[in-house]
Amino acid sequence: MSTVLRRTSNSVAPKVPLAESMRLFFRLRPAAFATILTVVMLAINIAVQPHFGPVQQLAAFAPIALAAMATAAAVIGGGIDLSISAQMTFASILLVGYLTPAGLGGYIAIPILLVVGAVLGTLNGLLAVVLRLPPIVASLASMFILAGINLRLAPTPVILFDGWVLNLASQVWFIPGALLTIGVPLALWSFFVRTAFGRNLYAIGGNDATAFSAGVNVGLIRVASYAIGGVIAAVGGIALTALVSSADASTSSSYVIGAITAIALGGIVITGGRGGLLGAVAGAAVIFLVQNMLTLFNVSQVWLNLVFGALLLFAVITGSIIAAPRKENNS
Amino acid sequence: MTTLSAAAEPTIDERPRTTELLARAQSKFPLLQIAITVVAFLVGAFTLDGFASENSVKSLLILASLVGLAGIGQTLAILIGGVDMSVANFLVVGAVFVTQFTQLYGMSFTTALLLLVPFTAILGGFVGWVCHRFNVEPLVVTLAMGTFALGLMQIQTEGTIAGGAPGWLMALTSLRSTTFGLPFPPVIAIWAVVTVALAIFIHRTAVGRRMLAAGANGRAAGLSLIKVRRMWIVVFALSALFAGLAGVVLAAFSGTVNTSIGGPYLFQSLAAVIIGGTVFGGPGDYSRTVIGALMLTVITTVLIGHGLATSDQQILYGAVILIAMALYGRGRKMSDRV
Amino acid sequence: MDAKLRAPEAKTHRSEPGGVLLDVQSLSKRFGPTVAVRDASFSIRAGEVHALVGENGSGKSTLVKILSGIHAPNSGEISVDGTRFKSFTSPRASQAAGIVTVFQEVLSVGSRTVLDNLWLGADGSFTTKVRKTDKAKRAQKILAELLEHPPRLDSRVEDLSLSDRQVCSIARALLRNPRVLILDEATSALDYDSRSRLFRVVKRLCAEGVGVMLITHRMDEIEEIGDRITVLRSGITVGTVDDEKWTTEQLVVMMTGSDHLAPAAARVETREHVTDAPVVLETRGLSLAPGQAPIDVQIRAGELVGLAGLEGQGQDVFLKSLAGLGNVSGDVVRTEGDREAVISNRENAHSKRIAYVPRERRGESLFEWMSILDNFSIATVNEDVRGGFLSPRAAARRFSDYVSRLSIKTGNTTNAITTLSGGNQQKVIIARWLATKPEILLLNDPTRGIDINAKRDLYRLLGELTAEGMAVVMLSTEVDEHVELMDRVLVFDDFECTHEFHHMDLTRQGLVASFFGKDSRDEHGLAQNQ
Repeated sequence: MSTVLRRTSNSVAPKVPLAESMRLFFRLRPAAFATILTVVMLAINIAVQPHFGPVQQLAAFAPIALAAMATAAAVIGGGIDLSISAQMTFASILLVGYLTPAGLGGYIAIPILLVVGAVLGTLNGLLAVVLRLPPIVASLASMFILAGINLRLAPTPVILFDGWVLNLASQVWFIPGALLTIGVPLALWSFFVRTAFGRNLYAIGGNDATAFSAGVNVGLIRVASYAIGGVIAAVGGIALTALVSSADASTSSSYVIGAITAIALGGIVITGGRGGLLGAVAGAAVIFLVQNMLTLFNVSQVWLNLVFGALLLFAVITGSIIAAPRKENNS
Repeated sequence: MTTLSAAAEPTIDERPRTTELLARAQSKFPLLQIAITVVAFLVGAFTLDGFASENSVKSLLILASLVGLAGIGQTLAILIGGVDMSVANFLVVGAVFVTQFTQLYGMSFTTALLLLVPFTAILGGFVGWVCHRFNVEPLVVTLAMGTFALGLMQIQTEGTIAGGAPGWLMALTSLRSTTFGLPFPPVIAIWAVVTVALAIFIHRTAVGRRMLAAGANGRAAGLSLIKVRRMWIVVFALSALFAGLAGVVLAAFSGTVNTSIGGPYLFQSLAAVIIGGTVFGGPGDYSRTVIGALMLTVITTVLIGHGLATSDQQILYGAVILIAMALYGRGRKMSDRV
Repeated sequence: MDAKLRAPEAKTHRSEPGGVLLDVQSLSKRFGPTVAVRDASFSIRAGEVHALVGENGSGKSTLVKILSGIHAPNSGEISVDGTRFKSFTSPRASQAAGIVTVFQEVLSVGSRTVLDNLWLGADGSFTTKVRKTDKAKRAQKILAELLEHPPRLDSRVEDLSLSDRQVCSIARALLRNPRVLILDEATSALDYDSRSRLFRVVKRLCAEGVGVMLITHRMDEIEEIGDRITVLRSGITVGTVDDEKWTTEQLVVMMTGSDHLAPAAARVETREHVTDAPVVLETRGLSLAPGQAPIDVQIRAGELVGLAGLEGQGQDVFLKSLAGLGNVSGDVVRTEGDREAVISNRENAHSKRIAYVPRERRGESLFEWMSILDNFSIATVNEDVRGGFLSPRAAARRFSDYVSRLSIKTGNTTNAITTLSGGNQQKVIIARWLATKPEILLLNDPTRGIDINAKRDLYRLLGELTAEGMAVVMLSTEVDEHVELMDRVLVFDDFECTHEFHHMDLTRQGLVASFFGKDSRDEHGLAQNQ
C-alpha cells in the first residue's frame, strides 16, 4: 500500500497527453477500435466489389460472429469456454442428424437446441466453479470430450436437404436470416446487461473477490454466463448448419482461434469485466472482412494464418495497454 | 493481504494417518500414475495377444516418446505458470524445416536444423516477452504465435505443406533400428537422455531453480534478484524450440508432413503433463510428464486393442484431464481470496 | 480483567440503545493445523462503538471474516438481535442478518462506475431490488456526507484516488442499512478529512441504534469514538474494558501478555559508539511524492533506525527507495570508505550490499510449495554451485549456520516452507537475506503476524547484527518496537519526514503525538468541516 494519498479528491486535472487520452477513450469504448476498423474495411470491400451481396455475406459471417459472442459471454464473467466451437457443431449434428430424421426438424427444434446448449454451457460452468478447475484446461478437456462425441454421432458429414434452417442463409420473409441469428441474441444481451444480472456479471468479471464479499452469488452468476454462452453457441450451430447445409464433426475446433481473436480485437479483456457482445461482433467482422479482402485483392489464402496470428498478437497487446490501470506515483 | 493461516501459531494436530502418509508420498512422487500404468499394462498383457512382446513394448515406447518429447516445452511453460498452445504448430514448423525446406531450398538437413533453432527460439522468446511485459494470458499469445508461425510456413511452401522424410531420418523411430548396436530405435535413447538432462536442469542447476521460483511466486522472485521476464522469455523460447525439435522426430515417425500433423500431440502432451501431476506454477517435473505420457499411451493402446475408436480416444483424453485436474489441480476457494 | 459476558437476551424486534445487538459465544476457527481463532466471546450493544484490538496475527481478521460469512467457524455461536446462527453460509447471509463489513483491503471493482460499486450486491442475482432513481439519490446523499467533493456517480472507480475508493466501499456498507457495521481497518487508506467525516456518520448511526465494531491499530481513533474495547490475543478474547477505564499501557499488556517487548539487555553497549561510526547510506534531496519536502538522512554503521508514522504516510516508499525500488526524485547514496555510489535499482543496491526484506510474506517473499532450504538459498543460489551443478549439501551447510543463529525451528529442511509457523517462516526469509552478506539490512515491518517468542528472537538478532556493525533500517507499525529497540526513529507524515527522535528522547506518548503533530492539522480538518 504505497499509493500516494492526495488530500483533495478533485484536484485540478493535469494536462493529459494525447496517447493517454486516446487510451482513456478506447477504455471507455472498448468496441470502438474494431468498429472503426470494420467500417473502413467494409467501405473498401463494397467499393472494390460492387456485387457485395450483403445477405450471403452476412450468412457466411454469422457462425464466426456467434462463436465470438458465445465465447465472450463467459469471458466477460471472468471465465473462458474454449469448447464453444464444439458446442456449435454438437447443436448442428443434433439438428441435422437426429432431430430432423425424428420429425423434430420444425420450429420445435429451436427450444430443444437452446435448452441443450444451456445444459452444455452449464456443465462447463460447473467444472470451473464447483470443481474449481482452471477454466482454460477444463474447457479444453470438455472441448475434447465434445469433439469426440461429435465424431461418434456423425462419423461422416450429414447433409440437410430442406427445412426452415436453410432460409436463415438467405432471407426469412424480407429480413436476412443472419440478421436474426446475430441480432436476436445481441438484442437479448443488451437487455440483460441492463438488469441486475448484467451488473453482477460485470462485477464478478472485474473483481470476483470484491463481488463475493459484497454479497453477490459469484458461482451462480458465473455458471449462468457459461449457460448463456451455450445458448448462443446453439444459435451459432443453427447458423453454421444454414451456411453449409450439413453437419460435420470436423468443425468441432474450427472457430476456437477465430473466436478468441475476435473478442480480443473487440475490446473484451480476456481476464473479464470489460467489453461487450457488440465488440465481439465487431471483432468477428474484422476477421471476416480481412479474409474477404485477401480474396478480393487476389492475395493467396496462404497468408490467412499469418495475418490472423499477427492480428491477434496486435489485439492482445493493445488491449492490455488500454486496460492497464492508470499510472500512479510509487505504485 | 494478511492471511492468518500463516500467521497464527501452529498447534499440534493428531498424528498423521496412513492415508495422509500416502498422500504425502504421492505429492513427492507419482505413485498412483505408475500403479495405473502397471495395472493397465498387465491388463493388456493378459487380454491382448502379443501385447507384452518385445516389438509391442518397443512400439509403445516409441509412441510414448513422441508424446513425451512434445510435452517438454509444455512442462516448462506450465511450471512457470503459463500454458503453450503453439506446440502443435511448432511441431509442424520443425517437420517442415527438415523435410520440405531441404527439398525447396536445397539445403542440407544440418543447415535446416541449425536454422530451426534460432527461428523457433526467437518466436517463442517473443511470446514470453509479450506475456510478461503486457501481463497477458499465455493461452492467447501462444495461440497467436502458433498461427503466425504456421502462416510463415504456409507462405514459404505456398500453401502446400506436404513433404516426405528421408529414409535415414525415418530410421530414428523405426522398430527395426538399433542404437549403437543396442536393440531399440534411437528415439527411445534420445528420450531417455533428454529426461535425465531435464531432471538435472530443473533440480540441479541455478537457472532451473530460478525458473521454479519464478513460477512459484513471480513477485517474490523479482524481489529475490531473479530476472523474471528473462525467465519467461527463456522458457517460452525453449518451449518453441523443443516443439520444433520434436517436430523433426515426428516427421521421421510419420514419414509425411501436413498442417494437421501436430494437432493430436498438443492435447496429448498437455494431458501427459497434467496427468503426471505438474501444476500451474509448480510443483512439477519433467519426469512426471514422462510417467504421464507412458500411462496415457499404455491405456490408449490397450483400449484401442479392445476396439476403441478415435472419437472415444478423444473423449478419454478429455475425461482423464478432468479427473487429474480434479484430483490435484484445483484452485483456491473464493473465501480464501477475500 | 476477563469480563464475563452476559447471555444473549431473547429479542424479536429492534433493540433499544444499550441492549445487546450482536453476541458472539466461544467462536473458533482452524485452518488445517493452524488455529486462527481459539475462543472468542464478546457482545456489541446497540448504539455503541466497540473496538476490537490485538496484535497482528491475533485473529482479528479471521474473526471479522467469520462474522461476515466468508469463513464458517468450527464451533461457537453468533446471535444477531436474538436470532441464533451456527454460522453464516455466505456474505449474503450475514448481510441479510444485518451485519455489514468494510474490509481492510480496498475492495472495489475498478472497471465499474461509482454507482454500480455502491450498490454492488444489493440486488438479487437476477432481480433489481432498488429502483435506479432511488439508487442514485441515496448514493449521492451518502457520498455527500462522506466527501467534500464527491465523485460523479458515472465515473469509473479505477480513476479515483485510493482514499475515495475506500470511501466508496464504506458508502456501499452504509447503503445496506446495517444493524451491525464492522469497520476492519477501514480508515487506514482514508485521508484526514474523510476520516473525520466518517466518524460523524458513525456517531449518527450509533444514535440511531446501530452497533459498530471498529478494528484498528490506532489508539487515537479508539479514544475518539470508541465506547468499549475487546482485546484479542492468540485467537482468544482476553477481556472487554470500558471507555473510561483503559490506558494504552494496560491494553498493550493485554495484547502481548507482557510489559516489555524486547529484552533491552541485548542492546546496552552499542549505543555509545554509533555516533562516530562511518556513514554508510544517505539520502540527498529525496522527495517521496511530487511537491513534498526533500529528505536528507544519514545512516551510520551499527545503527538501528526505525521508520514510524501512521499507515501509508510515505515510510514504505522511503524504505523501498533505499532498496533501489522507489520511484522518487533525489538520490540515495551508498558510501563505502571514500567511494560513493548512487543507488538506482534493485540489482545495483544488491551489489552495494543492501538487502531488503519485503513486507507481505506470502505475496512478496514465500515460494509456498518450495522447500525450506530452497526458500533460504534462492537469492544466493550461485554459491551452491559445485562444478556447474547445485549441491544441496552446500546449501544445507550454509543454512545450518543461520538455523542456530536465528533459532529457527525446522523439521526436515526439505519439507515445504508452509509447514513452518509464521515466525519461523519469517526467520527463514531473513536468513535468505543475511546470506547475501549485507552491510545494510532494510526490514519492512518484519514482526507482522508473528508470535511473541519469534519477535524476541528477532530483536536479539537485530542487537547482535548492529553490534557487529551492520546498519539496520526497520519500518514498524508497533510503537513499542520503536521505543524499546531503535537508536533513532524517523516519523513520516504525508510523504515528508517530520520528526526525528534519538533513543534517549523516545517515549510512547511523544512518538504517538508526533504522528499527528505536523502543521495545525486538526484546525485544518475543523475548518473544512464547518
